[in-house]
Amino acid sequence: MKEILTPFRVGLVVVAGLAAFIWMYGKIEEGISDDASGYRVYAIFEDVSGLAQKSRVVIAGIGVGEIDKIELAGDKAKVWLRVNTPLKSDARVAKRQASLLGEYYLQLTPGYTGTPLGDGDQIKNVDYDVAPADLMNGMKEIVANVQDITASLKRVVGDEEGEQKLSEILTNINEAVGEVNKAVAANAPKIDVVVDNVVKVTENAKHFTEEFRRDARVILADARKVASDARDVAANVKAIVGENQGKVQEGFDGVRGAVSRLQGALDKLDETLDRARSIAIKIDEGQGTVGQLINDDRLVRNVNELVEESGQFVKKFTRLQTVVAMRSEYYLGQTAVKNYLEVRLQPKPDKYYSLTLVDDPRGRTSFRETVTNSSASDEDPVVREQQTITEDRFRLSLQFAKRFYFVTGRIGIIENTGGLGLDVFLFGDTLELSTDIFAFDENVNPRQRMWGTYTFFTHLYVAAGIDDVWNDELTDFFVGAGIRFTDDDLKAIFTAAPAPSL
Amino acid sequence: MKRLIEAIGQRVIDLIEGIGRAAMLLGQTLAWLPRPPYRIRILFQAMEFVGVGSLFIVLLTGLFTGAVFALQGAGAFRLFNAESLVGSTVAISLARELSPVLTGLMVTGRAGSGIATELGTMRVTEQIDALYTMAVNPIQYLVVPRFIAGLVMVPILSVLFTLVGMGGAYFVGVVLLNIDEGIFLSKIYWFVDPPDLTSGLIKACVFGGILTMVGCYKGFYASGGARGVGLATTQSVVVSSVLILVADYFLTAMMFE
Repeated sequence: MKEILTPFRVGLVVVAGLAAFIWMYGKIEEGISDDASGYRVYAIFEDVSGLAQKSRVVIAGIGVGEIDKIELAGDKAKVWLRVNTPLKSDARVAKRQASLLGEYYLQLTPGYTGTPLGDGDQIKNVDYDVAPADLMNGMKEIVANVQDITASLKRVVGDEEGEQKLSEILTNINEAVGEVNKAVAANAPKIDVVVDNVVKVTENAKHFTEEFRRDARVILADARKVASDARDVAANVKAIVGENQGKVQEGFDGVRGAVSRLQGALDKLDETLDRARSIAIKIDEGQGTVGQLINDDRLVRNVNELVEESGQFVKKFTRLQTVVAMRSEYYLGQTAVKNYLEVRLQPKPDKYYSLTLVDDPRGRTSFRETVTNSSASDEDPVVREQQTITEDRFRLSLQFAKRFYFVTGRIGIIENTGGLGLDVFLFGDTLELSTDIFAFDENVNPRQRMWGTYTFFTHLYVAAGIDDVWNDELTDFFVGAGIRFTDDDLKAIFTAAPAPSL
Repeated sequence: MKRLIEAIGQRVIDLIEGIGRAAMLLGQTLAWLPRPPYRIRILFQAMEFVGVGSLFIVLLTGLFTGAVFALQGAGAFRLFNAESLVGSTVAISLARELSPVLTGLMVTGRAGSGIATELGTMRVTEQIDALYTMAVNPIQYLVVPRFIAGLVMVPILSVLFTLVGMGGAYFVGVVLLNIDEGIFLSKIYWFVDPPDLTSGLIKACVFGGILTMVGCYKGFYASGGARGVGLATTQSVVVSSVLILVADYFLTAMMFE
């Protein structure tokens, strides 16, 4: 028994010891970050006093590692941290005080952007906490300031001069109070007056109400009197009636006569009404002019038609668009300006009539051949005289235009001669290529103009082209600019402008 | 004067001789350690004597050491409102220093002295010489089991000392002084690291070796009858205690510097 007991006892102690060791070891191991795991990063600190190897490294108060090593790097301290949580390159580390005993730990902010930190990388952002020493320095400064203040106070009040000043100040205050008192005293009569006025006003008000009450009493009395008068009158009437019953009988007779006359008048009225009824019946039946007027709906229909027609007319009229354009062209060869004034009446979008006044520097050229038969001369008896007359006068164009898709054809009088025209619209009508051919009888060849117009602003356009293509000596180039209004614009102008009385 | 010098010289010679003999004993012990025959029964008896026999006194010491340390620490930390550090302070102190040293001293007082007495008695009653005649190496038979028991059991006792000591500290701190239990424990877990515990174990192991070797040495070389045995016992306790404290210093210096 003894031989078994000895090993058993020893074994018991050994097992207990081993169990205790393993349990304690496990417990204390929980408290630290696993030495083997994690990785090392470093940060450069100005001051690491209070930090030590194995000092805690926390994120949001949760331990994520510890200080692995602290070494000197120049005049700074290089602190190696062993952490087991991922950090980014914008991570921050700060030395924080755990207690007033000077115990410190490192507060990490893991960072959100940037590249992940690896083993041996540096945490570049180091925040500095206020150390007790800094606090003390601050306190020192504050104390110094307080001392300055007290010293200057002492200077001000401490000596006799200061006391004197203080007493002066007190005297001044006293004086000021006295002045205030005086002011109040001086104004006392005025204040009395004000109070008096107030009293008077209230008294007046009182009087007024009293007067009103009196008036009311008077009115009541009057009313009472009127009532008693009325009573008297009634009594008098009664007396009179009682006294004069005969006279009353006469009065009744008079009344009867009047009633009979009234009866007559009523009979006449009846007759009148009968007639009126008969007229109404006639009207109702459509007899007579008035009856037809009232009962026949043709008139109404006619009026309706009229209104409809005039409506259509007005619609047409309103659909008619008027365009007024003015254009000047500068002829490079002639160095002269040609002006146009165009009024375009456009009843439909694809159709318009154009009336243009043209002031052409070339004027109107006409030929006149005069043949004179003369016998007095030995020479050729026939004198041929050819005249070219150029008149500077307005020319007129009157054209009818019709648009097919992007092409508009024009026909009519162009600058006082018959002519044709063609416009090609491109780029949403902003660019217009046009040609006119006219004056078939003026020169050897008819006059053809070709030009392009570019509308660059709603109302403004520029033009350039060539004139009189087929007559070499007359061919000229021109550039121009113009302005164009539609009647919407004109309406706006006319309504804005003072209206002329028509 | 001559006698004084002689006395001093003799003392020095004795001291050096003693160190030499102790070192030789240690060397012989280590030399005999791996050699068969392995006397397991004797080893267990030694372990029972050193470990089990000292268990109660060690646990009692540990409990009150932890308790009194917590009490004192709380009084001191209260000045800074840092009572939560009591647990970790006690734990670190126990694990690193107090457990091995106090366990070593307790076991010295109880088992080391016992070893010295036993071996001294065997020496003066010539039982050790009898072992020689029986061709049994007394070092292997007497010293080696005790030495092994010291090496093994003292660290175990030290661990139990720490555990019980922490129990005492917990009782005083949390139950009696109302320190926040969670903070108390978490600070222990945070501040106490495995090296604290293992260094304590190494120390305890060394102390176990010291106290058994000193006890064996003093008993083995005891002379002068019953008085000599008593002297050997006393000397073994004194020398062991001093050596433990001195060794503790050097071990601490080696481990933590």
